[in-house]
Amino acid sequence: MSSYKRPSRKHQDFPGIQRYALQRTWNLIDTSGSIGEAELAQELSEVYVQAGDRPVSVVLWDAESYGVIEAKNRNEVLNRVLTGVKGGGGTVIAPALRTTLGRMQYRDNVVVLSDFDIYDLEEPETRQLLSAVAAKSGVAVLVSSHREVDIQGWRFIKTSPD
Amino acid sequence: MVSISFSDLRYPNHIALSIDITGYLAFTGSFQTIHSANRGCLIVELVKRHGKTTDFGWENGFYFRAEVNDQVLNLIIRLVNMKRNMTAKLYEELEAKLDNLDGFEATLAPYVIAEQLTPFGGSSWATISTYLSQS
Repeated sequence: MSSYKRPSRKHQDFPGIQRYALQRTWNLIDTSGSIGEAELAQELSEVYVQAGDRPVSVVLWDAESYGVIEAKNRNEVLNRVLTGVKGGGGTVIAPALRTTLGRMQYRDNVVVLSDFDIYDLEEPETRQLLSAVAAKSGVAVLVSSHREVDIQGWRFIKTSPD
Repeated sequence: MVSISFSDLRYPNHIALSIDITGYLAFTGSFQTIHSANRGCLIVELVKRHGKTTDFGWENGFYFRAEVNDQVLNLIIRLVNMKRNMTAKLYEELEAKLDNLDGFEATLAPYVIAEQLTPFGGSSWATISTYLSQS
């Protein structure tokens, strides 16, 4: 990563700060009542495999956002994320997007894992939040186990049932 | 119908607990033996507290049959299929929730899900990793 934030001491045309870092991935995991155990295991598998080579932040959400859980490796996914799974209520994505938008850094990756039977998906505020998160992120991906959605700035993946 | 029989009482610290759930298509195996006293105790306690004993007797060991609801049956199947060791901590956690089936299920769920996680990710990992590598 390089930036022109601080001028280079070698030459003014060179980028000033250069650092190498693994980009954090934000995983927004739907834990609402419509998500079965197999689907939840599939969603957590995606997080589990990511945690092997990059830091991950997990936001568990159903009708509300249950805060941010950070994991630096796979063991932490098992110990922190899995034991902290809450949910089972309705499906409202706005609070989770708000939490993510407030905490994420520019160029972080964002993955939303859900069945996309989301109550507030068509609300203008939610669309605005989705656009804001996509604009701030490096890559924004929607992973759906059920419904297909098309949202500008987001890449879409439909999971196949195992 | 769940049929539980203590098939081997020769070893006091090693209860061989056999569960016969032939009546249910949802269960993949019709006969399963658990070599875990803790797990066996939990299953027996679940049946004792939430089931209705219909028959008991002696046939190659003591047996009793009990009728249980779907939730209890599901929990028993999960306990039987669980591959991880039943640690003292997990046993105590589950034992404390024996009267509350929803609490029992919630305590057991993370351990069951943990066994379903694969180090290769889910079915969409290949595509997700391609996208993430483009950032």
